[in-house]
Amino acid sequence: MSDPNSVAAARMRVSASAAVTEAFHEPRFSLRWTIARILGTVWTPKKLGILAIILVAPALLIRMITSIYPFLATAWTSFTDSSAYVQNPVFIGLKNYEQVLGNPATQKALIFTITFAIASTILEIVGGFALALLLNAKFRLRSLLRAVVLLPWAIPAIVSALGFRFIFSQGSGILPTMLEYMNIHIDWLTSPLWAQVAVIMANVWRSVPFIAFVVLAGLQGVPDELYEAAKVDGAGWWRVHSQIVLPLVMPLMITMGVFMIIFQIGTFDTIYGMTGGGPGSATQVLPYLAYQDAFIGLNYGRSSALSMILFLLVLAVGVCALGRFRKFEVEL
Amino acid sequence: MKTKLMHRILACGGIAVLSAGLLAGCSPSGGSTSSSSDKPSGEITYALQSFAQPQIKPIIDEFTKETGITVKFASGPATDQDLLTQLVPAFTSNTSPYDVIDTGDPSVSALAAGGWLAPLSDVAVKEYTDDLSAGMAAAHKQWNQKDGNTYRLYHNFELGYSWSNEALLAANGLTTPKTWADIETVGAALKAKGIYSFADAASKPGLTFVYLAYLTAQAGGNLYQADAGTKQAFEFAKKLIDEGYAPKDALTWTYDQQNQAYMSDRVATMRQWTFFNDVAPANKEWYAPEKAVLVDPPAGPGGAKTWAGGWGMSVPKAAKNKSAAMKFVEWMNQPEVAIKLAKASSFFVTARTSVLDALGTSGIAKVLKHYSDSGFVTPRPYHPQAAKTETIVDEIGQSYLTGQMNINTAMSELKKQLADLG
Amino acid sequence: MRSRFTKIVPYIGLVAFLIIFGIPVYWILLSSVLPPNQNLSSPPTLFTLHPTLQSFERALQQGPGIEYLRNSLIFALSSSLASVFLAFFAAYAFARLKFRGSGALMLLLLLTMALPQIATTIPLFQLYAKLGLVDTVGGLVLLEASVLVPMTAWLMVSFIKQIPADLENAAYIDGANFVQTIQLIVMPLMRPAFITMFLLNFITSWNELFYPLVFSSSSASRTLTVGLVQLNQENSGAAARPWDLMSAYAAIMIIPIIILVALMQRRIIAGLTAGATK
Repeated sequence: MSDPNSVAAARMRVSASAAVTEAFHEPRFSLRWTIARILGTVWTPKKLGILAIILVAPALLIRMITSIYPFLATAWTSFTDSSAYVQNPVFIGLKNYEQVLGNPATQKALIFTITFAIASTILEIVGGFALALLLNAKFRLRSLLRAVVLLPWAIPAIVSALGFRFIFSQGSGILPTMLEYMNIHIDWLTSPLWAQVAVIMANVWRSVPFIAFVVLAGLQGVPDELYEAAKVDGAGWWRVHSQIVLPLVMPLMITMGVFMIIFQIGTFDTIYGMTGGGPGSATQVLPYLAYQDAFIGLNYGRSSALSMILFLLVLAVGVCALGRFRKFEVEL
Repeated sequence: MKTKLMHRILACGGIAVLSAGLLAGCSPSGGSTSSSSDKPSGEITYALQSFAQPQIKPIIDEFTKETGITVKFASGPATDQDLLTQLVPAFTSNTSPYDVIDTGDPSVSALAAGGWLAPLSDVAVKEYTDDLSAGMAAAHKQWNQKDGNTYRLYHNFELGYSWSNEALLAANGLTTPKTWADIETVGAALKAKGIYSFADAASKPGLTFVYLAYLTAQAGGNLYQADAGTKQAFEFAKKLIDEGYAPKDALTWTYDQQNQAYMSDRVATMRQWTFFNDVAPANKEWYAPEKAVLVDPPAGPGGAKTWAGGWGMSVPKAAKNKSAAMKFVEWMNQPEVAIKLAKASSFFVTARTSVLDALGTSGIAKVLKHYSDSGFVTPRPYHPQAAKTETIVDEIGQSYLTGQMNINTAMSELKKQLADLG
Repeated sequence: MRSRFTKIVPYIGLVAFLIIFGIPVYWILLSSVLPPNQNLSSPPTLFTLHPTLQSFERALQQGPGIEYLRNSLIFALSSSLASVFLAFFAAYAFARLKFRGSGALMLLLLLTMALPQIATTIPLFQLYAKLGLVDTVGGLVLLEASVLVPMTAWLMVSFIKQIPADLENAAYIDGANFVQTIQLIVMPLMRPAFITMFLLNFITSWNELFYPLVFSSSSASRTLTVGLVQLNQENSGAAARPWDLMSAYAAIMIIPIIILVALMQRRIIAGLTAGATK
């Protein structure tokens, strides 16, 4: 709470009342005039309630139309034989789920979706922490580093995905060429395992900056006295950071980790641009599979079943996280 | 000052929300504006792959001069997958951004099955069907017609051709491989020099299918039956990679990366589409006629084969100016126009009798005629849901070729996933 | 305590991270100023003394590039303006007018963010088909703005709470009504927050691929991201892939972002970290 008698507040009040007087001389029947008449300046709880509804409604309504309704419709569609070729879709029970889950390609995609999300998140947290420590240190050119580090996060994911496709490709790509000088030969995009490593690397490259800046904000919240005290105790850099700083930012990193896992389960752009799920189905993920079923296969029922499996995955992560870290509630 | 700025931001935000609603409101609501008179007129939009647009522009201008219908180009999708993802949402809402669209084989069958294409007028079709060579007539019947209606006319009929770098082979004391066994022999001889005996770009989406369908044709198999020939073809493809006779990287290559490899003398022979015929001579530093010789396809257990498919013109049911669109398709497919188009662009070369006769003695058309006459040409494997089945072949094929599944799993998976489509 | 070694460490880190994060971006930019035939050269070209703007000319003068650019701009500007606008009012209600169920509503709004895009797409596209919103920039803006609203509202709540409520109370006591208070007291103080959220949302929607990919059918609404993807697909066997156009598109998409990051670094970082530190 700020001091209501501060000079700034007083000045603000004066200019506000001047503007208010001016506003009342506006022509009638303007929108502003109408709202002023309805609400006036006397606040009853009922009026406040109406106001709150008016304020929240547009945002809430538009979001419900684009998320809750279609989500429920997707859930329903997943139990029907809906497709571009069927005029009147009918209920077919769990058939879509059986077909989808019985398909080894889906099973592999399911496993890789999880692997991709978890491996990426772990690497992002570790890399993000290291980068945050560096950004927190005082040295020249730090602001240059900040700007450059922001770029991977800020440029379109599809651009970096296509870029990495060629950075990793044999012959004309930078990475294989560099490794070739060191006599290392890796089939980056044609060997299933290395292709998986490559897409995870590209994804981590993109997301580390975000984590780093969040962790940096956490680091800046660590009071200087702690460092001082530790120094007095004779603790070295490593001990200070591993035993004091790390535990302090750990809760923040875990929360971010959960958020990133959920977010990355829905990954699309990177896979779509970089490998198209290949080689074979080595880097196939559920969102891309569902997209292909919907817009190439034109089989809406089956695509919806895949989407629902994807959603259940997100839900499972969310429930686990909530059970584990009950204290990180959404705080208003 | 600051208040003003806020005011403006507030206003802009409001306008943005409102305009989103308004823009949404005045979206195209179908309904043709020029249907009042019998004579087609006005403007049509033709979605064609961008590279071909400048090539045929002068001929389109003649059409405009003759009929008064102006034609606007839009850059059309270049793959069937892309085409479906772009247009199905529009077609479902009963609108179409284009009056005439260029469609590939798998997409035309999907669009016709969805009921989104208008049957082409009899006038256009009659003259066209009479003009087809045997192989093309079969493909036309298979892909373009459904329940007695015609939904597309091919303006492009592509074969997978075989190119051989005879200079490179001769320098190593070798000749062009004529059979699968030859490819292996040549591969073994060239391996030490870092040269592959054969290459075909096989990346996802679509290109893996093209390659495996090609080998399956040579094995005499039926890809969508996952039969013995299919198995043989898959195994041969794997052997080429494992032995180092064909590049493994080709699984991520696009066609230009394949051309690049061929034109840096790292590949001795390849399967490639027509456009390489223009690409090779354009590379003046490298080109010599004996480096890019069009030869017969290699023979597998089922003979020397390649498959054919193509692009053609369709009219969406929701097209705004349908009558002019029909007129356009009709005009473009008259024999004398088709010949002009074929001369202007390799994307408009077909195996129509009139076109082959007119171009028969020169360039790619001569080879096209030779391939057709020699019985090298098989139709593209047909499936009513071809767009989907081709991605299935892509995925299973690549999984097998990169060692993620064995041949028996690959074959049973292929069968099962095709059966699941119903 | 501070040895020479500890002074050097940050610079080693600096160089390492500059290489890791800078080189790929540099390479993408570089390829846009190379002549077309050098784009795929092997070994890769690492620098050039003769940059050319040829590919930009081709991208913006021929074909639909300029329309895609226009669509991208309208789409990103409108989506971010609309989302900031909608989210501000909702956030104000959440922050200041604690009404019954406000916590639950905010939670619901936030939870919708966890839904993967694909899980809502098919019904949306059927709905859009009925409403005639397919292939319109307006339809895309509605979608994108709605996707941005939850996060924006959530961050706005914390920004609004940083403003002392006394200022608003004072205005009410002086006889100002709600609109005047918002306009004269709250909005000026929220200026930095507006700019921050606008920047973040602009970057997000400028980069958006999925919705335009699904809902655009033609250059009437196609954005640069989808244009790039389409060029990447031009590989059907009828022609070579247009590498020069692709790199030009990529550069056209990256350059505004680089400028924004260079000028507005602090604001962007403030927005990124706002959710974490409150």
